Amino acid sequence: MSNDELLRPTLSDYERAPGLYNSTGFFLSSFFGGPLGAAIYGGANSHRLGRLSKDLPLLFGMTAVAFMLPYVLHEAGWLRGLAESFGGSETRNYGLVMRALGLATCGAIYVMHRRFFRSAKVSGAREVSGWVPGIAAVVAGIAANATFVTWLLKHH
Amino acid sequence: MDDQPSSADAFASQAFYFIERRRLDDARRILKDGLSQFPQDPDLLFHSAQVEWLNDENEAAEATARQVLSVAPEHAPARQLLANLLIEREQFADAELLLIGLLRDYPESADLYGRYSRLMLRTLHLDKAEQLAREGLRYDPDALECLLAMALCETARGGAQANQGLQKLITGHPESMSTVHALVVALVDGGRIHEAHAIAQQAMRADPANEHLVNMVRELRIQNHWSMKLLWPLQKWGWGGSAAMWVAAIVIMRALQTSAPDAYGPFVFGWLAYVIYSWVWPSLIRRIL
Repeated sequence: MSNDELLRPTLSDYERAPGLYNSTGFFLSSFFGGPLGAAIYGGANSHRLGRLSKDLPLLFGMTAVAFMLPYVLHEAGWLRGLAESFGGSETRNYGLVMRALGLATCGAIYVMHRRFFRSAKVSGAREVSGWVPGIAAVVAGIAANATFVTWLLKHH
Repeated sequence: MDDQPSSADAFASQAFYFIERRRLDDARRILKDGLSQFPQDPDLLFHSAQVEWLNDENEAAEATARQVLSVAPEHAPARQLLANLLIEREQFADAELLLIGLLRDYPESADLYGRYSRLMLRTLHLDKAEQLAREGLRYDPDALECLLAMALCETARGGAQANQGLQKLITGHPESMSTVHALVVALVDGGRIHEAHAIAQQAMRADPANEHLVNMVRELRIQNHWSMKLLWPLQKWGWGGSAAMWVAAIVIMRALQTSAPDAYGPFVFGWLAYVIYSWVWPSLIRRIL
């Protein structure tokens, strides 16, 4: 980067200062909202970082993989075996698997945004309140998980 | 220092003498006298803004800094002070324009590159922050602001390699508060709370009036308290640690339910107690200590 490029304003391109939504909210949204919840919250972070269009294909890909994985494992009969080894309700156990996949998606999105999270931690940047994306992520995520698990158990 | 100064410069240097020694009431008195005789003097106005800033009267400081710039638009220290005040108010884009303007006027000022680098880090532009710090170090390899910015950038990058920025900062400026700041950030980042607390405490003994250090020590004391020890996985690995513990707890609970039902109940209660403690205790201890 030349000196002229280095001294070109960066922050004027943003409507609001770049920031990250509350990380507790990210964790809880992923835990309760599963992969879709994690993707919605991660997408909200991408939007605040001004890189939503760049991240959207990756977010979509991660969510698709997170939903494809239980489908493939279910078709192969492994998921049912795992759920049975846990005991209790099958629907509930599938729900738990979706939660675990939500946390895995959260981890993958964290890796994608790692340098932003790390910069925020080191510089002491204030986190943005995450109530709005958090509630949207949990509501949409729970609905998606319930629909997916019901479809998986009834039709396959 | 009791002689009445006769020029604006004399008032300004006497005020600066008091500001350096944090005798803000004396500085304020001198500045009041000076400004009654030279109401438009930019240096006297600038020192007034400085005193207000040091006294946490940020709104007044900003108004006074803007007054300086209306009298002397090129006044560099006032522009720097205004940039600091804008950063504190999170008006980052305006602060950036001020810093870029200053860098165009003083293109070889390593200190300004360091400040701009830290603004970029604060607004999560790690790559640009690093490049700015590196550019500043090209003009002055020993510039404190750039070394601090570089150390923080390297801490943010993390990884297995040694933090050379921090090493250079410690070697070049072992006595500086910036070094303490960078070192404590790096140690906390590595989960070494006890060492970070000890270093910050030692620095606070050397400069007990430093409010930033007092707050840092207070926070580290809380994190290092014996009652917080059980939370070390969360302190060290953050939400990653929390996620791993939840997954492990769910797996253990399910396994106990089928293989050892007698142990299931106590485990669930123990786990719930831990969850409640991890949520409630950190905020409670901040009120107690």
